[in-house]
Amino acid sequence: MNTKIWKLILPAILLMNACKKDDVVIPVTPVVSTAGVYALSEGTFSSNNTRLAYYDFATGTVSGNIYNTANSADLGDTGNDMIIYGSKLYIVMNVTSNVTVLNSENAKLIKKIDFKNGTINKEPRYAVAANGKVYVSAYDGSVSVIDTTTLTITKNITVGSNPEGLAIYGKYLYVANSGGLNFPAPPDSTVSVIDLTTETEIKKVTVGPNPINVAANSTGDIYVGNYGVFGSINPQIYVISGATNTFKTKLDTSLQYSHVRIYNDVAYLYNTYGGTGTCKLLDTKTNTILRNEFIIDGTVVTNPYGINIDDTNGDVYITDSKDFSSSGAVFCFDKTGKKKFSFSTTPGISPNTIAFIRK
Amino acid sequence: MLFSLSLEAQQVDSLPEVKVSSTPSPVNAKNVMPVQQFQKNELQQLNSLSVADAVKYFAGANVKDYGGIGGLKTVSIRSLGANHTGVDYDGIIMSDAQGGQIDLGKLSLDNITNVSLINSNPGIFMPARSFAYGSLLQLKSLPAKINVGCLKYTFSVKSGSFGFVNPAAKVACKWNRFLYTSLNAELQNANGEYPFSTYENTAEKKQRINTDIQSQRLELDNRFGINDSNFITVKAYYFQSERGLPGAVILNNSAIGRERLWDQNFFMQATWQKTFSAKSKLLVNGKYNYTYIKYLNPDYFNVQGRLENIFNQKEHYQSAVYSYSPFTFLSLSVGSDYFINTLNRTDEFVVNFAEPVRKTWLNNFAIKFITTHVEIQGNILYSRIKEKTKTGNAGSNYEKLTPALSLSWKLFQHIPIRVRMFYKNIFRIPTFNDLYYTYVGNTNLRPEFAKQYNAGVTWQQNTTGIIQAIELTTDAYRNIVTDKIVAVPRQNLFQWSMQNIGKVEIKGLDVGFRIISRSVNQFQSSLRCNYTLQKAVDVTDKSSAQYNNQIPYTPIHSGAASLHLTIQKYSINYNVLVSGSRYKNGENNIYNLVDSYVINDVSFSYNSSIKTIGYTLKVELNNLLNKHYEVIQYYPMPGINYRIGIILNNK
Repeated sequence: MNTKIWKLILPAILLMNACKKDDVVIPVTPVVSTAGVYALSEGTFSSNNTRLAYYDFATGTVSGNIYNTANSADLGDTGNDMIIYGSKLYIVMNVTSNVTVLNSENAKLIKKIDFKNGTINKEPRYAVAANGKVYVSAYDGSVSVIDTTTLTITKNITVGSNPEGLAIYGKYLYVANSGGLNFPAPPDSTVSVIDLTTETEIKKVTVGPNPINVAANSTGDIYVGNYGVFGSINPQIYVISGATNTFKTKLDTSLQYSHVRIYNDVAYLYNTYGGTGTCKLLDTKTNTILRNEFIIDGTVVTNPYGINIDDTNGDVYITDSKDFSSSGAVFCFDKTGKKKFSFSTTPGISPNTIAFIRK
Repeated sequence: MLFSLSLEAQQVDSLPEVKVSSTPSPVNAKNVMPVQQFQKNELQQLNSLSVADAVKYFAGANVKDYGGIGGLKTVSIRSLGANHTGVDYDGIIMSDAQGGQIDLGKLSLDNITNVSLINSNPGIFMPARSFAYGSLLQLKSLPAKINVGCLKYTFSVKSGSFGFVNPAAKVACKWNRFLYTSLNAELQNANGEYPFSTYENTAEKKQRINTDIQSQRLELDNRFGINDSNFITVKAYYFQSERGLPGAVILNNSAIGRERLWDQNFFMQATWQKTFSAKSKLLVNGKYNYTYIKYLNPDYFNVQGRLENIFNQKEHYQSAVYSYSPFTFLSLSVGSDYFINTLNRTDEFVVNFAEPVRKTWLNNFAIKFITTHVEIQGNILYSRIKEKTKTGNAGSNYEKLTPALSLSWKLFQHIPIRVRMFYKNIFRIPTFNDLYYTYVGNTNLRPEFAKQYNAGVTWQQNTTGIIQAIELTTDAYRNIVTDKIVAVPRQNLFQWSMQNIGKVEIKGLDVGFRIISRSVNQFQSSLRCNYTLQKAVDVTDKSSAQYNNQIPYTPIHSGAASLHLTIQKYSINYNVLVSGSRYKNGENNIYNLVDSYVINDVSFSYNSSIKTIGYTLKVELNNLLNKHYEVIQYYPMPGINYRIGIILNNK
């Protein structure tokens, strides 16, 4: 997830650095296209059946268990997120409690970075990357900084309780502090703002209860999806201004969504556990609904579980967790909402994340 | 194994003090329905500590075992699911309205003299609740007959691998013509830290940790009888334990889980049995049951830094059954049971717990028709369940009428071959967890139904030659489970919901064989084997990848064999348990395959006496071939391990 974010930010940073120099830099837009996608399936709890699949565009074939094929070993339990950064794939293993780093070209293991506090698992959740660092949230209330050259944790930043999704805008990292494990005590309802230059939390911005997911648009609006409180407060999306790091607005209460992805300043709103429809499109400049249902060709996704968008062409990948105990599937739609192709993640159960391999 | 329904029935019906013979029982060919049983001496031959260990040797039984002495062990009979197995201790059902599954690993065999498994009609002179399960596991601790004034005692100590220490004592006395008392106490301690091979490619040797268990059990039995046709029994039972919950082995992870479980169970039950005449008799039962469970996870990332659940469960039970035989070939009975179950939660993590109160009223009418060639048993059970809660919606009230019918027919005059058939339609009520578990529970649940059809043949022959008895039984069955209660995800994180959506079709075959030799020159032997074939497939949803696939953790082929030899004062037992491969998930692909296993156990014992004190020395070697196996994947089972024991008793 969130591969798109660094791809948006990185050119800007490069450009800023470039401007400091006297040389005249001619911006080059490289022709980038997608060669294939990885699909991460979390598996079933305590079953050590997290699987990585690779779908190759050239051949249209799936390697359903490519981590095992490449390494003759298994990833472990509950792969919750993955990102590609540079030439490496980072898989966040929640119950196994590590970040497994692979060569994204061949899925060969490079390193397993343990997430432990003594003998206690930190239970990492999500990752984003920028400036040669990978930032990983963990349920123990921290964001760890991984240096991507040494592949070691260089710092643990204390945030709120049970942090989940992360997003970067400018020099800030936004972390959803869910407090989702506090039940029946109230959940957390803040987003930590971390200054990436000092790697410290500078403030907490209050949002709705149990925030889970964060995404930024190009103008610095940070969209925060909140689960709410089951039985009393519905899921809702709050918006933080990245310019002032203060609460800006919240979306209409009728938009009961906990998850949001942003591409080209269009927010794709969805839920990971059922609900009606798959995905609604919202213009983040005006916060008005563009389309009530993204899929227009009648394709049925049994249980949409994760959405990732290929920022080279706007293709939308929706993972299907089905009944959470059978092999899942991945559907690819073009940006108009028509199905392009789909593939099964067999043996992967409950696919949740897609990552893109570029040519 | 399918011997002694009639013997059993006699014990219950009118002759409570018949001593269960420790020599092979004579073959009795009148079993209407499949009954399998182990008597005390056979239980000892099986190297079994708990009821779960013994039940593994029954055909059609599938024990889920999470490993180690303290690991949860539940039994599903003929793939109906563990909630359809009733467990009857000395005539009264053990209750767990919260989870619906009795952990057979907690039931020690120390005080148990007989374990039997009944798939259909349990007999006629039984409480209505005995008819309310898909199958019934009967446990008996009936006192053996002793003379007035005689103090009888048994002391035993077992010790073995993984820090296992298990002392037990039983003292029994018949004070006078009317009153008999026995007191039984047992302790079990083990650190449970057995080695296993890790699942990574290095296959490093590691120890299972957080596997310790300490348990204490106390059982007091009293029997007060005017005579054998008018007596009262009172039993008090207390059990408590503390154990670590090691959890599944997680790949690429060396963290140490620290979850723990404490539990207590106290019950007191009383029975009054009065025989008015050869035709007419009455059985009245009462019971109070209290169960306490505390679960703790000390490493939980919430405000308190820990997660704790404390549940208190109570049951008040009363029952009466009256049986009347107008003719020698015909008996009728009516039985009525009324019981109240409550559950509350007292930890600080609870909000608005439902605190359900369930009132169950069961009425049963049973009939038995018997001639030398034909035996028919039938019953109709009327169940009425009413439910209330302190907060939130209550589960629905139910009223159901469910029948069962069994038939046994001796085909020939002089050949002891019988054909038997049964049909049974029964349901299980959603458990309190199904209905009220925070977020997960669903108060709209309906009961889950299990229909069983069985047809079988038995050949049971007694001879006067070297072979004392031989028995061969075959039963084919077809079961259908509908409205199966399964967990499905619903909106929002962590929130799964129980739904009545499953449907399972089961086709099975149980084959049993047993042969017993006569004792010649102090040499005696017996062999029993069984084989189970089961196709239990999910037929819930045609569009699912699981459609027509074998349900999780259900082997298609499984079996067991036990060989017993006695040579003078020595005896040798060899037991083997075989399970075919299973799938850990409903989708039957190779990635979900869990390996088959064969487990060999052997034991030697020496039995003698010094003056008036009898003693038995016993050595057990379990998992002789040190096979690394799992019943549930990532819960590794112990490799080769030993136990030694000494039993002393007075004569």
